[in-house]
Amino acid sequence: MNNSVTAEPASGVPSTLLADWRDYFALLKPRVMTLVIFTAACAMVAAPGEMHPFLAFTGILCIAVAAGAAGALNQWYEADIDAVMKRTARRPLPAGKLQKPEALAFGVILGTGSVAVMGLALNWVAAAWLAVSILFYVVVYTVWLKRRTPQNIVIGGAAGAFPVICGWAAVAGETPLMAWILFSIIFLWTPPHFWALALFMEADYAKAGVPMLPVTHGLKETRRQILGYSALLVPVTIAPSLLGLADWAYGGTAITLGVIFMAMAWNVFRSSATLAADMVAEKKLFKFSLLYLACLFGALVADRLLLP
Amino acid sequence: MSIEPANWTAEERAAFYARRESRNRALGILLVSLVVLFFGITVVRMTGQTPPIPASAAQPQ
Repeated sequence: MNNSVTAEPASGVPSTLLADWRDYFALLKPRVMTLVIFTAACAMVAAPGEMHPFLAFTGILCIAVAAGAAGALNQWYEADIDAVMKRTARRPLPAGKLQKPEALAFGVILGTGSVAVMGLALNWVAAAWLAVSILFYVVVYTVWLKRRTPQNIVIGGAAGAFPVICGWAAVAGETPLMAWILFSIIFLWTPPHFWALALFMEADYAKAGVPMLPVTHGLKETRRQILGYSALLVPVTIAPSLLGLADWAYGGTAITLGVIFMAMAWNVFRSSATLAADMVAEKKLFKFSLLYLACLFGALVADRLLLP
Repeated sequence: MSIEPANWTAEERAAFYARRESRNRALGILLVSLVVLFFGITVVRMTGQTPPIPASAAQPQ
């Protein structure tokens, strides 16, 4: 890509004419989308019912695009915060490659389009949950609570958990207990995952004025809450086996992973590091939490596909 | 009407056209993909449907 044309609007030329398709793609937060696609696809496999592979692909596509739309609307609203944070300063809006109205229109079109296609191609229960997931992420999390409460990550966890509900509803047309257990797993997994990150990125959040828990309540309280949410998470991951909704092959995996997760959360709780460079336990927990969720949902899929 | 500023260098103009071409190509791929998607959905949904039996044919003779 040629960088000789600056990102800033030059000589009256609309900045969107200088934007590359990659800038629009970056608005979709592709990394977040990966997790959404994975968890939603796992929920679709785990849900009871048959579905044509092309419709399953359409369902996953709708969920991915809806997540991307929510990401674009989040960036539209948070361009000011993104501009002052090192991690996000190079996003298309703070970098001046796109203007806010373009990001808003892009997000709204993708969001409504994905909900409409989900409703017409699959079912309106899944479409309704998809609309709820977008609105929850944008209105409840981004606009309402993110800048007001240090529990913003807990609320954001619910937004990130909705795709499994959408995936399940797309196949089954309903959202039974097992779908809500999967929702709860992602909901309870999010705080330890993001607070581990926030601990070693604290300075960045403080600079942006985002009331993240390490900024408002300190490192010790954050570590205590990470341990608390981890202690809630592990029993919920085992619940499907306890309730007879999944086989014990899944249950064994959940217990093993849970023990490792708790050990890592305990190490974070015991840590007294204050400098990001010294936060080894926090970085380990953050990285492991990604693997943890992938293995847990992978085990659930294997449980449904491989066992009678 | 041209939207190009007169003070652009040849390099800037070339970069601008390259970006515009890349955007148009991406949009073209997106539109074709949507056509394929909607066609595929239609075929799958229609294949799964049993045509309704006309009332006249369903009645006993």
